[in-house]
Amino acid sequence: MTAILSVERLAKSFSGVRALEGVDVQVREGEVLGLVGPNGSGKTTLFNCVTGFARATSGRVSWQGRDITRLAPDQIARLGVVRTFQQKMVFPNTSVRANLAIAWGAGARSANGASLFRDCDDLLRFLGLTPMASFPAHDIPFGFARKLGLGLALAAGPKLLLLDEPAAGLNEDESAELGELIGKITGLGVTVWIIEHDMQLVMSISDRIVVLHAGRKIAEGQPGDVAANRDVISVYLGEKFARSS
Amino acid sequence: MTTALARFTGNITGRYPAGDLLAIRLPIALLLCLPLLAPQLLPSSRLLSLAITAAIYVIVANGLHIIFSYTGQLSLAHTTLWGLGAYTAALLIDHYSWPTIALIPSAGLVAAAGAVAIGIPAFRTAGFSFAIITFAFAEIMRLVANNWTGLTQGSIGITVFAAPSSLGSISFDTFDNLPNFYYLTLGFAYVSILGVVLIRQSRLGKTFVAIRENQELARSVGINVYAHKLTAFALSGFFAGVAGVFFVYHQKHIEPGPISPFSAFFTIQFLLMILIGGRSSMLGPVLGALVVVFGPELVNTVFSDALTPARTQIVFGSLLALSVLTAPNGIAGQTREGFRAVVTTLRHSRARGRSWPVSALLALGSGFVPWAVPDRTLDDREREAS
Amino acid sequence: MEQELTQFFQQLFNALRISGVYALVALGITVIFGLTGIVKFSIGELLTLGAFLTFSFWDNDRVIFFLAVPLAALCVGMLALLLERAAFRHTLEQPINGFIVSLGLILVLQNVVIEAWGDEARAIPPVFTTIWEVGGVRMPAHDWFVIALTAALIATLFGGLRFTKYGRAVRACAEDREAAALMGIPVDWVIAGTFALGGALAATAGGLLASMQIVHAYFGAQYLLKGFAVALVGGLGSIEGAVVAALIVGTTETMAAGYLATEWRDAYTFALMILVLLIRPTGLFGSTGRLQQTLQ
Repeated sequence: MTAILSVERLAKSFSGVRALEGVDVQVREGEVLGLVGPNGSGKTTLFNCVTGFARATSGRVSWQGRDITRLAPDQIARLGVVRTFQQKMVFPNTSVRANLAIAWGAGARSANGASLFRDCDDLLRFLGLTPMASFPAHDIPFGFARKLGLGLALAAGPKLLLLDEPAAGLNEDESAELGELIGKITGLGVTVWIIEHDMQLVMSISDRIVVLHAGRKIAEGQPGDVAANRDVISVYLGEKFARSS
Repeated sequence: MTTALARFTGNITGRYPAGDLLAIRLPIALLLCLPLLAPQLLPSSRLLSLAITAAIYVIVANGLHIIFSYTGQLSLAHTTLWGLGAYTAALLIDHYSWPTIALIPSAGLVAAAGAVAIGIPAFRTAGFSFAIITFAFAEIMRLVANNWTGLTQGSIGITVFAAPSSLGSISFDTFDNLPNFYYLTLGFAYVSILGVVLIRQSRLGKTFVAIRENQELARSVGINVYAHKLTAFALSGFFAGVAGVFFVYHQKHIEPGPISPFSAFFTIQFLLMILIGGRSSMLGPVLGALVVVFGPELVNTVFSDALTPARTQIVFGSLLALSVLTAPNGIAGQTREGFRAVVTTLRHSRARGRSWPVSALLALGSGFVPWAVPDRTLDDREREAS
Repeated sequence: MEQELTQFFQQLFNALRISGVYALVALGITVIFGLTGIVKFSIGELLTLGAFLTFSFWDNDRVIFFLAVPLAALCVGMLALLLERAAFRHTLEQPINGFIVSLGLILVLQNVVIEAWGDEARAIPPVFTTIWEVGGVRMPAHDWFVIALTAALIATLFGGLRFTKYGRAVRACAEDREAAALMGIPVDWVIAGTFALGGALAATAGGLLASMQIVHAYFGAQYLLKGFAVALVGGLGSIEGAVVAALIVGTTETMAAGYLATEWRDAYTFALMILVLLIRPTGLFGSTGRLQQTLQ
């Protein structure tokens, strides 16, 4: 499988703190890649550097062969790499439908020509948000707001979708629904890279998983292998458990 | 365009109940037509001159509305762009006797270009930094106007005794045909309102608002925030520049003095108009302009000249501070809230089976007593959101 | 050669004098911003008020100049405190609203001055009339007095912030308001006190200026902008930055005005400020954090 996104020796420091160090990741076309790791391991920082929201100290990010390391976030989004946010993920005072309409016009959809959905109503149906299409986005329940955030990214016409903890704050049913939704998205041909703490969700939907700890990649591979990896277990549960496994 | 018009007249079926059309759109439309009667209604030419000033302010305020209310960027250079347009017009009349038809786009374009020139460095920052940089540029422009005496005649300013070019036999001379000049200015004021409405309904306007609501999110879906901010700024500058032309026709003079468009005085004045009138309404600037121009007039008529110019400013300054603290949505917002209260109470009351007179009374009461408003139900919200 | 040297040192002296005044205003701006994130644009009018109050208290030597200035500073400080309690404290969550409120206050204060004192110019003759001449450089004793006084005030401010209980409270609140509150520090009053301090500093600058030049109702505005430029260059929230920047800006401006065209004097400072904001928005000594939140 070809790598459509390639992160090479990425490093990021903020005033003395090394948030990322020597991270290499290859995202393969069509897969669902999970990104896990304890809090503070640099996952969101990695996303920020890849999508242009933060400036990497060194290293390289290539998208479909093109160097995008120093590009602005909107440029990267128009090239087809779109991310979601964990907080402040919608336009609060605009209606749900208008939210999607805003993202619809701006993204790669127009550049690539091929669109994932016929129109905004199609996307609304896909997300299951049609009953609240006219409500202002700040007025809808949290779970639906999360879906809307996801929808905004989809409306921009991504080829690679970076999801930043989309299941945070969702209950079990909502998480399962999210998993199904991601499955459908992959079905449309979109590659997904997802940061998540919900292990059940990540293990079930990911083709491969990358584990970060203290800014470094410590494991990579199939979900089952990663779960059994001694370093991973020790990082999450402590040395005792690692030795006993 | 047709969608915008249809929406205005409430002709989109299913989404705008008939009550909406009668209750809101019609009165607003009628109120907007009222200024057409000004020459008949206003007793003196001094008052008509004030009305002209108000119309000019409406154009400037609508420009500020685009950059401040829609895009959310606090620009303190807006009135200076107005002055820039005025200088352009004055110079073109003075040296080349250009006709109005050429002046208006020229002044607009020069001011828009000025806006872009300021915006290119300024929009690399945001928030306070942006406001301060625009302020610095405004001051620099004032200095230029003062010191580049070869072009601008410095602090003396430029005086032009000119009037808009006649349209056939209709003369717009402010000495003999003030009502005609008023109608001309009013016409452009209406155009500026239409412009603001159209921009708001357009994809561009919605993107502006999106940028105000969540800039990072906008970036993440591919919106070039920088370019859009520059566009908004250029548009707002264009409005200001056009208003500058009418300023010159009306005042016959432009200079970079302490009470000129180049001063902080007007900057604060226009900010006040937007905040008083309401940032979230398309009519906010109009309301604000009317309050600022005719408010002191009204007070002085009632209280026989109690308000000196200095006291007027004290009142305005206090109003600005108060409106930010208490009524963030201005008059338009408060009116809308009050109106919403009335309509909701009426509906709920009728739903409970109360008779019309009782419901009407309760409704009117709730318009004035905001905490008596019943909570909105899902149905109400659906109705409102459309 | 000697003449050029003389001119150079003359400019340097003038720069020193003006830097002191800029420093006072910049300090007023920066302590308020550092604590609350509010940009108090009306501080220029507090400066004007300080000048006029000093003039009225002095009133042809009814009260000596040395007392008139602190008296005026005290009054303006109290006014600033009142304004904070009445208006600014409601804008702590949204500092940009505080900025707009201060814009409104500019109109109010300026016109209060006009209503109370009229719009003619006033001036206070300098207290010391001797002019020392060293190597051709004219240095009025009064100017040295102003410089000394300013330096003393700044030193007191630094000392106060470092060594007194109040100073520590201010620094704590500036770092983390919530934590400070949890520690039992009366954050509300610390903030109110800082506004009063800022006002008093500006008023002192105004009073001193009244003895150095002609003052009128509109003269505060230019010092506001300069003070602001200085505070920005030094880094909003940094008092060391304000002082260093005051010297830099004062010197640059005076030198540029002396050697290049004088009427563009203000433009040099603004250009410098714009450059700093673009290249290093946190200024020379400023830190990120509060600045990131508020400037973005």
